Amino acid sequence: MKKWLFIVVVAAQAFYLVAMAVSYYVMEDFGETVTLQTAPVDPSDVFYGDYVILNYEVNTIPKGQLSEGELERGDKVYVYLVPNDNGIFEVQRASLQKQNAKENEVIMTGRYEFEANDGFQIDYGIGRYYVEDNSGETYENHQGDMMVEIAIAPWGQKRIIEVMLAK
Amino acid sequence: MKHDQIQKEAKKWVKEGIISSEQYTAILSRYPKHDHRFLLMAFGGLFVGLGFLTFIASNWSDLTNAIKMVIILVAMIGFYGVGERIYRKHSRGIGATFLVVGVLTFGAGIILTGQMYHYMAYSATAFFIWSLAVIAVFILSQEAVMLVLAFGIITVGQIYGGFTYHDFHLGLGLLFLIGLGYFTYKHQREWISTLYGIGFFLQSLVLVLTSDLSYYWLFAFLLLLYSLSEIVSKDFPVQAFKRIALALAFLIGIIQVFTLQSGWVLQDIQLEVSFLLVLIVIGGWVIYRKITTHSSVELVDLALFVPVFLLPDLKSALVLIMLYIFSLGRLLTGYKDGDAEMINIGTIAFLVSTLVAYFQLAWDFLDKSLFFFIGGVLLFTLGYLLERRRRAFCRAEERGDRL
Repeated sequence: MKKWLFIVVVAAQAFYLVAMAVSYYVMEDFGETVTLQTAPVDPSDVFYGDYVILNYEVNTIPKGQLSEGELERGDKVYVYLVPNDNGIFEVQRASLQKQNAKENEVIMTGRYEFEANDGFQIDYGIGRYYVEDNSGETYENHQGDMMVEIAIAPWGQKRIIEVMLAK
Repeated sequence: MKHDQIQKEAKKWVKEGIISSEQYTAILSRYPKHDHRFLLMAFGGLFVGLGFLTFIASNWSDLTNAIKMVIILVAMIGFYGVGERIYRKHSRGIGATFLVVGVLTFGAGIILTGQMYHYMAYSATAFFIWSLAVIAVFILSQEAVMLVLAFGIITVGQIYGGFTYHDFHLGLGLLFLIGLGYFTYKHQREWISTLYGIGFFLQSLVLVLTSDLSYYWLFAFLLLLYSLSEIVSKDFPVQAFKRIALALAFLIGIIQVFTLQSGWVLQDIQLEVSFLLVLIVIGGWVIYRKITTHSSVELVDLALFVPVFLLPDLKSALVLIMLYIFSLGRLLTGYKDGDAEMINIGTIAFLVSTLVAYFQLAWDFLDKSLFFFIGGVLLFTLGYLLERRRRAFCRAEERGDRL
């Protein structure tokens, strides 16, 4: 076994894992930031010990806004978001194909879950926000919407930066 | 030869003047002393390492991400480093054990890091990266256990991806076909060929189930696997390919006998012209090879691949006939050539075909208890006759004469 080659192979593996971690922290510098609004839910259903379940408006894609008629569970969906007048991002259109984003559009990828009455349900993998110790009650007793700031990396990774409670 | 043994003997030789003391030391240095304490140390280290890992795993959620990352990296590099050192200096077997743990740590590391940093997976790419690492370590160490691990990870990854993402991962598929295919060809071992045959079928199964291809494409893939044994030279141990392809084609045939009859299961099998073309091309090549290499008797194997299920009527009966042609063909050519293995395969296939046929024909008409009773007697009789004939044959073989 060639020692230096072995070192290269192990180093490559370590580097891959480190890059996975580092990319999470540099996302804000390279990616785009969008603010999303959570869908109204019963606050008591939201809090689970150490994390908050976040359900976004953009989790549902209205049926008219998807290019394709047929979807299979687990399909990767490209969702194109545009900001409204208040700076909250909303679904503009969605497709299974990656297309070029138009002006002021931001692309967010998600997995198709199932079809509901009001449209297609998409999972973006940002449904959980781990809260600091002892601050859970803030969310538990909160009535009304939350604004969530999300960073989206060019390579599709997403990260919750901040959860803001609307008055 | 043991160091101590040589030492004892060689001392006598020096005394008797057979060898000089210089020769004595030169001989002894050729047989290094094995240190058994090292074995205990190595396993001690392995257990401590694994204990440490399980301790961390049970407290995993209380740690911060940075600490988790450090633990994963230190564990992985530690196992690899210690493994490489032991491998080089002491014992290949124990070193390889550490290397395996290192590879497993890398795989776990990808999954854990993905969880920590909320990666969303849309395909089995994590398994693909993991497989690349295993193959790299295999190329460096040439340890059989790494190859087994590579087969395992590529196959499990493809199946998991098929279930989870309803997709065939092309990278994993190509890695299996070309990468593992190359190692199978290079090392030419029966057990590697067997692994390859089974893995090849599982890959094609995932491909067929996740794509728009009809189920019968499996026959094309199995025939391809079968034909691989014709491409390589005769001394290559690809009998495994043939056996696996035939066994699986036979099994799918049996399933077809039952499902094709009840029209609702496979009500409308659409013929795809491309399938027929592929089948004709590979089949033609196999026929050509069999004839030119004077093994025409094996043409009977191809009965299992004849696409009778595409015909409009009597599908299940025709499939059954094909099963019989294969079984009897194998049985008869086995007796003719005095090939005990052929006879065994033919016997088993014949019995199974008979059982299937009996089920098909008699299930609806006979009282159930009578059905099982008659079926049992039928199988006993057939089995007894075939077994008696086979034994007589084998005895004759041993005596060296022919029936």
